[in-house]
Amino acid sequence: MILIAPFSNDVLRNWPSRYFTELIQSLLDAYDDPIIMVGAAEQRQAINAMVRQFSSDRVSNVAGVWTWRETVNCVGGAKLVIANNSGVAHLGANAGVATLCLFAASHDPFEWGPRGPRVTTVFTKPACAPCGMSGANGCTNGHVCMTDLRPGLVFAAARRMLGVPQSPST
Amino acid sequence: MHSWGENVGEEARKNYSRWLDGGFYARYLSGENVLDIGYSGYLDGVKPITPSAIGVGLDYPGYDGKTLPFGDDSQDAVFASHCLEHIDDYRSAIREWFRVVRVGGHLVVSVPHQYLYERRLHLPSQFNADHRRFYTAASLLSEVEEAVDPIHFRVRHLEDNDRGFDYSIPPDRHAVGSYEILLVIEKIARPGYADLVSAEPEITTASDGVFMMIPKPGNDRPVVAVSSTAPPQSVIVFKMDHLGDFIAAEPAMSDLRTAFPEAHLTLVCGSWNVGAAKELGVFDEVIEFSLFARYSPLNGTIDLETSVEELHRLVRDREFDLALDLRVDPDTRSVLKHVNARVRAGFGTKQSFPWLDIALPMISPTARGSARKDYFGARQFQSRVGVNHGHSLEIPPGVYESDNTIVWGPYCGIPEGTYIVTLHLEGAEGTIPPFDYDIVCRGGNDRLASGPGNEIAGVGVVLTLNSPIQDLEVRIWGRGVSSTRATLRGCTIVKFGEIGGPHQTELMAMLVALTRHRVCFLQTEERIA
Repeated sequence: MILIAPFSNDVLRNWPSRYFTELIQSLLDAYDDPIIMVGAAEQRQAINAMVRQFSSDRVSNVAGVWTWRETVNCVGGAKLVIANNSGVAHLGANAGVATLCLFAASHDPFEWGPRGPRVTTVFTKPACAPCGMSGANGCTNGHVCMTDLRPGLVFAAARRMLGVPQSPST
Repeated sequence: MHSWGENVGEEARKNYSRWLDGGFYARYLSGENVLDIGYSGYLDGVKPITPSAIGVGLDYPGYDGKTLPFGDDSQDAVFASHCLEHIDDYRSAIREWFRVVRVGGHLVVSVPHQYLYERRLHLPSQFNADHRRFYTAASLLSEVEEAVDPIHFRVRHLEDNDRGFDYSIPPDRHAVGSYEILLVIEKIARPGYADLVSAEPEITTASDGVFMMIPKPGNDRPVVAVSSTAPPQSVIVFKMDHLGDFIAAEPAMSDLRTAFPEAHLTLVCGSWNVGAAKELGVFDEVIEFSLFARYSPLNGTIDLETSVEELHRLVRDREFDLALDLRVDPDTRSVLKHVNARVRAGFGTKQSFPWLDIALPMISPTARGSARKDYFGARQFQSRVGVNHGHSLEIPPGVYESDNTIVWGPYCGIPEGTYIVTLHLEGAEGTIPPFDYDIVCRGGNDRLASGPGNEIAGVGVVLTLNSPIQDLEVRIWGRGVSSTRATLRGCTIVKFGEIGGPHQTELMAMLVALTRHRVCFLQTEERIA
């Protein structure tokens, strides 16, 4: 099971939704593992928009369905956790689960990144990093720190953590 | 027409007459082009929901159970009665059903109700082993919202249908009556604002944001930082200072065993501390090495380079995962350069000690908050009326008006803190001339203090700065009265020492904690295209 938390507490920390959709497609093409999208109830519709095109038996949306406690209990069973700079990234890292964190330049990843034995943090270092800003109006640079993290690059990082795909589709 | 209902699907049959008479058919199933998905259920001889409807089963030509052999927006209605609960991929099924419905047409879905039909909390169903999920009205609608963007439909009908349901039948027996949820959604034309609703939050580029778009040199590619578990197996600790320092370090040294439970711990300390080190019971090995003299006044000078070479001979054939210098003062940090260690940790900054992998910036009150005294001579003052001899500035006798600046300077930068500022100014025969003073910064725009000259030229003025300033300026003003000749010899700025802050025991404990948290997760960075 691959667990993905596509949202954080702040829009500047969020990897673009369209990138997540691309990443999910790549993961589905390469691996047989089911993908579970986690989030808060208020993020459910936005996650629906992200996963609508995928089969429900491959990609589930449990936003607003799983409580935080249920997420805590389930994270240990994940083969990979993918998240922004958010609680789920720290949860996966702390549980010792392979965790791939997509880290925006609002904060210094060395200072605030998830810590654990199997963490990969992907980030950029634009001149404006770290900006310490929040909210859509907090960035004056087109969110370049996140838009430069292309889905192919993130998939390559995920692939390194998941290993060579066993799925016959690749 | 009523007779048609006798042969429709088993569940729809229960509602047929009511739907016909009540207008449900007219509203939702009246068009020519209607599909009845999975219409036959488990029975033979079943007819689709309306006489003109096409019953689509797995044997329907061109239907593979997933993709309907009908065009987009081609159907007035799609009817799926007690079908969805048998399908694993509900999202694709609903999406496909909705695809073929025309704008203004309807998707009519019914499923068995968890609390009417199943009457249990968890799968499997006790009445139909093929049921994949249990439903409530909320969970059915939730599946529909997952499958179809709610911008494209409106819910026209949603009900728990329990007509004729017998509530006296216990849950372990099959239900009687209607026990379903019925949902009707209408496909609507895509509103003009739809793209705005689904757009991601706009994070813009400022028109003047050019600077920020220039990456720092070498920082133009994304970075992957990978961490792995690397608890050190061998740790060498240096605590080479004196008896009291060693005692102060004991709590932090005890923390080492908790921090690195699996590691072989080696201590390097002066000969005078070897006994205490062994008694502490923390270290697996104690190496005696007297870098300093036990009693400094007897042998205050050490040749660090020679001593370090001697230490190097002691440990040059050893390899350690971690080398940690617990001395607070910086003079032993260079020792770490001579140890074969994967990670080197100590107090200070990487700027000062580039060989440190883990550096805890010194926050010693003694080092950072120490008292200081700065003297600024007459040469650093200017005057419109006086003569500056370098060692002193002579101000001639006269009447100086109150808006007249007589002397100003020294434009020095000082950090935050509390100060006494004293001006060395005297008139004839040791008197203080009748001048006023003020202390300003930021080009004279911010006034920090002001008053009669005898204050600043006497015991001095106490000045508290909450932030550092770059251009401290003391000015002498006239007071409109006659003055004898006056002499300025400069000013003294004394900073009070700041007492308080971390104890050295706490500092060492912080360094052990920092090292423990940092070193256990080995982090490597690499740039990726």
